[in-house]
Amino acid sequence: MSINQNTDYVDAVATTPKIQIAFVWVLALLPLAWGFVNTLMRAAKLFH
Amino acid sequence: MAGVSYVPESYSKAWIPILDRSRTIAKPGYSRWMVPPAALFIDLCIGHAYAFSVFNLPLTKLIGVTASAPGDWTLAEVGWIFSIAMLFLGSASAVFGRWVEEGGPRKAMVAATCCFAGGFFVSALGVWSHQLWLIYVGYGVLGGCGLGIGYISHVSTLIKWFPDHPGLATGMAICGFGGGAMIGSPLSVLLMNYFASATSVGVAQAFVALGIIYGLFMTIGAIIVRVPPDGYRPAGYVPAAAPKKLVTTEQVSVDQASKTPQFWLIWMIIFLNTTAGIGVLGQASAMAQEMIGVSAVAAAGFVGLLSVFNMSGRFGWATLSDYIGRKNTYYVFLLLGIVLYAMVPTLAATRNFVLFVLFFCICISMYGGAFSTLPAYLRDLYGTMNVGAIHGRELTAWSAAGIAGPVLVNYIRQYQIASGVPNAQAYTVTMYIMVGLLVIGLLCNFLIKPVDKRHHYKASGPASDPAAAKTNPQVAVSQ
Repeated sequence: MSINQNTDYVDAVATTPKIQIAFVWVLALLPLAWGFVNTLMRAAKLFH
Repeated sequence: MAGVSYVPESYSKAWIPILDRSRTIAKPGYSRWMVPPAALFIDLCIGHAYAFSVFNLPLTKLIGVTASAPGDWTLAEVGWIFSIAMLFLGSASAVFGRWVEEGGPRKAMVAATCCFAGGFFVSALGVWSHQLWLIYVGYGVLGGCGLGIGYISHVSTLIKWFPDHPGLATGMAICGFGGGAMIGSPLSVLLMNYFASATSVGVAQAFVALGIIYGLFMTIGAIIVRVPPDGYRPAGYVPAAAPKKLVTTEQVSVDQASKTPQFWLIWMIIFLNTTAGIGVLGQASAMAQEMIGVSAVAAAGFVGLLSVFNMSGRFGWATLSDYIGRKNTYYVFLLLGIVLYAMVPTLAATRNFVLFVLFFCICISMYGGAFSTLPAYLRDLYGTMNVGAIHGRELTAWSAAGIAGPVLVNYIRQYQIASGVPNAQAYTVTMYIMVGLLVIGLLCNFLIKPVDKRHHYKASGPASDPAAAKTNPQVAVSQ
């Protein structure tokens, strides 16, 4: 077992490159966008 | 919150060290906005469960290929795959909740990936050898465990990263589960069409491809995910000096939470709200055709529209709950649900197509919203210490509703039709029963009060739980 010293950790300014954050979001949302458009096209048949 | 935390030895050691919680603690400067996409990677994949029905018909034509032949499985037999998966989703999230808290999100995500992708591979073997039990074990048991573990793998992590916007955080991730169906359905059809031949419907190959695709995608989530350092607070965030009445600053362990009336009241609300939602989701196509008289193609469009609202409701309602409070958000779900379900028979009688679609879209958005707001509601009542494990246990209500909802709608409809009621009016009684369920849910929500202080976790004392410190040592210091 270990004893850890613990203090309040207030986030410093995030240094993760914005391009990296954007890339991860795009990677996650791209398939969702594909599925969303696909579903909307299917849903459009409702009003035909 | 400065102090000393006790970290058990088992906590810092694992048979694959890279999966350890200690190896996933974010370094200073790590942006918390990297975490919701990690959760999305998981939820967008496991959300495929809602799209599994696209395999139902092809699975009944494995021998006949173009049509069912003697020896082919029936639709009823195939239908059990989804039911087993739902059952194991709830069971796994309840059983493994504490393990997920203890092991951290990366270990849980990897376990979910192995189970979910592995489930596809075992199912492919089942299709190839034409052994239905292998698919029950594969997608049903193994995949269901992957669903349950994956669904709760990131909940407490997100809530700890976003103490200022817990609803927004869980909404972003859990909307992925709703969105997963929108990806899973066309992707599965695309793969089946690609692999189909004169001698095969392409299901086995599609299962293998899905296992590989989802396995890779979920692994990215496991690589990206990080837990916040002990005592993390976002820059500029100052906890409210006087928190809202239902928002606790205390912690409740998972075992203690199960002993509180609030736990069972929320369980009932989720069960009742989900029963109503699943009942509609499962029969949406038939209802649109029979109640309003739209074509089968238009009804399929209606189902697609419902999945869009299911997903967006998960994000929208959970985000709204950060501003109006969880209890009020649930009041909206239940009160609005009562009004909308009660008006459906009238709309059907007048054949008001636009309002019919609009009403059901709102109902389904609230069905999804209840799921995404749930973790934040639990965090308000029980604190962040074991919120993931408590959430896991609450999800057994989902499994129970997954069985009760379709049964309620199907059997009442059949009984009505057998009694000579026209098809268009066969859902009227069901809608009024849904209203009754939501009224009970409303009462349950009304009865929810702050958790009694005798249930609060103390580092030492009658309410302390040794396992609680193990599952989240950092919280022990805040007592």
